[in-house]
Amino acid sequence: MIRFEQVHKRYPGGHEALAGVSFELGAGEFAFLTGHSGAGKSSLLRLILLLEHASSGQVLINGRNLGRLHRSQIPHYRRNLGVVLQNHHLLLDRSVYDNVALPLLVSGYRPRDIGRRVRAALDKVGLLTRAGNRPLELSSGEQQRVGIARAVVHTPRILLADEPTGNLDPELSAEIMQLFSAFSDIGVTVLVATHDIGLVGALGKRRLRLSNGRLAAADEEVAVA
Amino acid sequence: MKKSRSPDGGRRAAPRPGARALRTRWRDRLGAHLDQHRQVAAHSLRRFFATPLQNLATVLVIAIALALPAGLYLLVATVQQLAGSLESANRVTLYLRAEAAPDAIPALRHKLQRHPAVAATTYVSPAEGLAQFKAQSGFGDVLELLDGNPLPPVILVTANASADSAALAAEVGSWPEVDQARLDSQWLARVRAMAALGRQLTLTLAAALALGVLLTVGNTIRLAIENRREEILVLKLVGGTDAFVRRPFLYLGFWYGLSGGVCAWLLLATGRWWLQLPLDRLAALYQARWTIAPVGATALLALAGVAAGLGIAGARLAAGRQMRSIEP
Ligand SMILES: Nc1ncnc2c1ncn2[C@@H]1O[C@H](COP(=O)(O)OP(=O)(O)O)[C@@H](O)[C@H]1O
Ligand SMILES: [Mg+2]
Repeated sequence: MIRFEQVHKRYPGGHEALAGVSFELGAGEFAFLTGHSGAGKSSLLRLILLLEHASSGQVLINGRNLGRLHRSQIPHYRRNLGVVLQNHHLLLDRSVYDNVALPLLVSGYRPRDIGRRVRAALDKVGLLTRAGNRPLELSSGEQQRVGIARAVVHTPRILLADEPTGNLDPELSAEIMQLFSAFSDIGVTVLVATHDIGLVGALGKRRLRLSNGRLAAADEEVAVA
Repeated sequence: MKKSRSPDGGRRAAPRPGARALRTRWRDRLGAHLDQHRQVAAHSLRRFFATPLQNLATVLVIAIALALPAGLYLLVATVQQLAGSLESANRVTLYLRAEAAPDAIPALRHKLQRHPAVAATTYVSPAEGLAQFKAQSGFGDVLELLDGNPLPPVILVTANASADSAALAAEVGSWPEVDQARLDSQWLARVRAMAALGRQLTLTLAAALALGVLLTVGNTIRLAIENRREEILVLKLVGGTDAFVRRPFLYLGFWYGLSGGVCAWLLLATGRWWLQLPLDRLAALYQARWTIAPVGATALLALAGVAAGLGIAGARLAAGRQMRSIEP
């Protein structure tokens, strides 16, 4: 569950990327986060990932106030998240398999569980045959899918994606969204930032509209209710 | 919030596990942990050998820093052993009264020879003493200026190995024919004092060089961390703890230390072999056989252990702060 209460984010330069954002996303809910470039979509996701801290207001994840999280608790908190970031953040000196295995490795999974889960995740994004390749031997779209496999491999409680379909063709984009949707069906909270309006319309999911750091009025109402 | 750290998703409400299930889970955890250590160790070793030339310099610096104090330690131990072996062959020099009649000397030697503490005696007449002095000192010309021979007759007494040579010197010194009995062990005391100083110096040097090893490994690890910044960011992003992210670098420090220690041992063993030959020749002059303390398995274990420990400590020092500063 994700809950924002009057969250402001001001960057050191003085720019206010988020201004009084409030909303709530329940367990198993799937929402798109839309808005123009610079609207604050990435900033919002970065707050959930604890890559940034809110300037004011509160971010509550599964009932826990992120502002009160001790530094030493952050890694354990992050293991509940699955993340697809805009630049893939893949390790170029490791195989696709090893990249996807990272979240399991840091959480102390056993090797045989790791193998099973990694193969399942790669299968879901259609890259099982490329497990032994290095990321640079893959196309940009394939790299993106490796990042997606890495985000879902440990069945996170919350799945965050920042423009996950940026490098994918329409069919693949739709498939990836189906995959995300399937995860929300088993109780994973999914939040996808995108400017691909076509994608959003096709799925008929909830939509949070950001504009200059503010949520559109309609979304506020849903949240406050 | 429940932490879903167990493989099958701790977040799903599971029936309360029995003691056996708990034990199995613990064993699983431990197994996974050990697996992970093995993997990290192997991975960091592969990385270590990936750039052998670059690492060679670091390893050699560590090796030399360890071999120096260790070698000095062996040297001091050897000198102490030498001093010990010479001490047992102690000698007392008897300066006889000049007025002692020459024919009294054989009787005196006879008396000495029967003394239980005496192993052997050698008589050096004033003429022989002068000849030796001329030959050894190079001051022969000065002696030409003197009237006659100023040197007293001398008997060199070698004490038994087990005898108390100081007591012998005191006893024999009181005999009427003897002017003075001098124990030739003053230089031994000096050697011993110098050996003690050498030990002290070795310790100081070892401490300074250990610090050097710490800093060398630390610096190398710092560079390695900087080179793998991206990897650290990603690992932290997916929930890697500081300890997890740090582990490969601690292993890297361990490998640096270990290989430095083994190289130090090789240097020492070679140096010992190199020095034993001239030492054998020196020993032959004293009809003795001295060996440098052996550089064997114990030395290898000690050097490798100390070096590996220093490697880990150096890596830990370097990684501690830096790891915290690299945040996604
Ligand atoms: N680290 C930063 N420092 C200063 N300003 C930033 C930083 N990150 C983003 N911004 C600014 O905040 C605003 C929102 O950015 P972002 O959240 O990336 O928007 P979006 O993802 O919707 O394009 C932009 O105007 C951007 O320039
Ligand atoms: Mg963005």
